[in-house]
Amino acid sequence: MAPALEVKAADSPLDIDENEEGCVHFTLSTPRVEQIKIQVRGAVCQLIDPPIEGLHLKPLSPGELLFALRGAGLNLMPLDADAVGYDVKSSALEAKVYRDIALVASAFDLKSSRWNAKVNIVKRSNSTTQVHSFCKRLTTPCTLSIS
Amino acid sequence: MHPFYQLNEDRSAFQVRETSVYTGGNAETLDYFMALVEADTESLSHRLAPGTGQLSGPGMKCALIQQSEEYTPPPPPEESPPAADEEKVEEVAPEAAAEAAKTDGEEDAGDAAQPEVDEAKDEADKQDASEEVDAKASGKSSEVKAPVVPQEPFNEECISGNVSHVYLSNSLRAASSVEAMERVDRTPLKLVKTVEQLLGLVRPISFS
Repeated sequence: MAPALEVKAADSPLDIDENEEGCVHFTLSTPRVEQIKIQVRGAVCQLIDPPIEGLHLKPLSPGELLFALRGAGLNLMPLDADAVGYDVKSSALEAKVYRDIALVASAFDLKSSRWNAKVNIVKRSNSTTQVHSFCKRLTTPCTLSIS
Repeated sequence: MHPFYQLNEDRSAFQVRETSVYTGGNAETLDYFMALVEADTESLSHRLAPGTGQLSGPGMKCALIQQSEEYTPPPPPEESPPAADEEKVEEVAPEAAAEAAKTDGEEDAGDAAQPEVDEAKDEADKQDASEEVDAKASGKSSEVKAPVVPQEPFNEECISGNVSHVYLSNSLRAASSVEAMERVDRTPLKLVKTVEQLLGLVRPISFS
């Protein structure tokens, strides 16, 4: 099962002041953990699912929360070297996509697509794109490494 | 449409729809659109008309496209009509010969046709046996053959009434309600930066 992403406007009672700060639910499915749900409200993130002791609903910044999750055995911060069998998107494209998604996340539901991992196997002769490299297999457990 | 030009490191696709959390408890009432964010140099318009209206720098653009998330059903397997006809002829031949013999009243006709069919079957059996021996000798087996998976075409044409834009919000404007776009415009900057930071750390576009 490939990791799947869902970004949704908040739909639970945890959303208490959506009019002032806005609230977004960020759901990630990985091969190891079925669902990791993070609520983003204003400048803080709260882990909703799985209910890890000490982190559940604790308001933290994104970096603090992800580092705390890594300490608990859930590494959700992959590197380029963790990509196995598929191509990593260019940094310019990633930055653009994340900025655009963040701008509309309060009013739109977004979900990852199976097409995103499709590899361009037909290269044009004058294409500036490079053939993607298959990186070494990741040995750290509980990461976003996908088959 | 370029049927086999699919996504690469400069193109990204994801699903998007207007949320219904404010109107109906976020029930699955609305269908997802497929959004495509790509470098201008990888876009369909650039491939069809290179050098015309190109964005400067690392130009990126967004569009809602016609491609759906569902799998395209594979084409039905092609049958070989000639081979099927030959088998039918072989099956029908004895019966036809027997009927012809009955109608003509010649009892010897059926006996004459039967040996010819038997000889043909024996030759076919011998040929199959020799092919199996050859396959075993060469180490090949019909079960080992990998199935040929047809590649799905990727339809990157915009949905009707939509064109590509620099910002995703502008692409969504034509396919969403006025209220949704007002919410987008009123989104607090703190929330935008936090979601962007979270996405930048988790990198779901590259790793999903």
